[in-house]
Amino acid sequence: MTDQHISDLIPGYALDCLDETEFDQAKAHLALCPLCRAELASYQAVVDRLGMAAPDVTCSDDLKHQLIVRVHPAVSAVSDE
Amino acid sequence: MDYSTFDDAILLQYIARAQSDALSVLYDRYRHLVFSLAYNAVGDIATAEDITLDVFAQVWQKSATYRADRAKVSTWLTSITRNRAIDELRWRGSRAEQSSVAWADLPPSAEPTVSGAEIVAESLMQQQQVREAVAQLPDEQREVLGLAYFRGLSHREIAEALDQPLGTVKTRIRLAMEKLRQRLVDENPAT
Repeated sequence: MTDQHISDLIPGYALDCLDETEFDQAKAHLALCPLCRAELASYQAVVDRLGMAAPDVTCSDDLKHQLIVRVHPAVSAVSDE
Repeated sequence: MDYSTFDDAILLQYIARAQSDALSVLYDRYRHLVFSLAYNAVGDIATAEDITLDVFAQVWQKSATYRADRAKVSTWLTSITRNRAIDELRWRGSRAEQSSVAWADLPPSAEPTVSGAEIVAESLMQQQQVREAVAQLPDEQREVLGLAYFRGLSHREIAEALDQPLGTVKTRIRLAMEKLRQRLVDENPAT
């Protein structure tokens, strides 16, 4: 295990907002420390949910058709007939 | 086949077999979540729509690699969306130009950002928990958290954008994350 635990760096590591030196330090420690990896997982669970707090915006109804055309043009061509 | 009755992980299995109707159902469930996240990151409708298309196209191409034991589908989608949006901002080189970001108002809108018959209630509850937890943070913590999450700015970039000491920014982000972890993970381990 490297040095001491890195609790102060883990929230920033989960958010991916550490500067390069801190990121490298945290990454090296996490590779060797299961306690800090467990703490990281708990902060990662926070990051995973933050997208739900984005203000609601409604997208174009046409977007779905564009998606189907893009991924499956043959199906789209049939449905348009 | 009525794909709307299937849970997300099953839908991914059908998508991996090139069933575009399954992709259509997954899109209907998560388009608001993906688009809202993308829009709040990049700030314009056209780019957010491009990102939304890219995210679901990526789901179509890589659904076979999805591992249900590693992440929920919603988590997988938000992760792809955030990464794609931040890549776009880095490509533009404009992440710090708008130094303010918005978080959702309370209460959540009547239409949840995730839609689908069986998951609406669960989604609304979790969405409300997240929004309440973020809303309870002090404004200065919400501000730095938003710049890190939506814009992909580092501690140092946030400090420069807000003209605040680096140590202050680090402390605010750490305190915000600690409070969110307490409210969202420690107090609600099952959600």
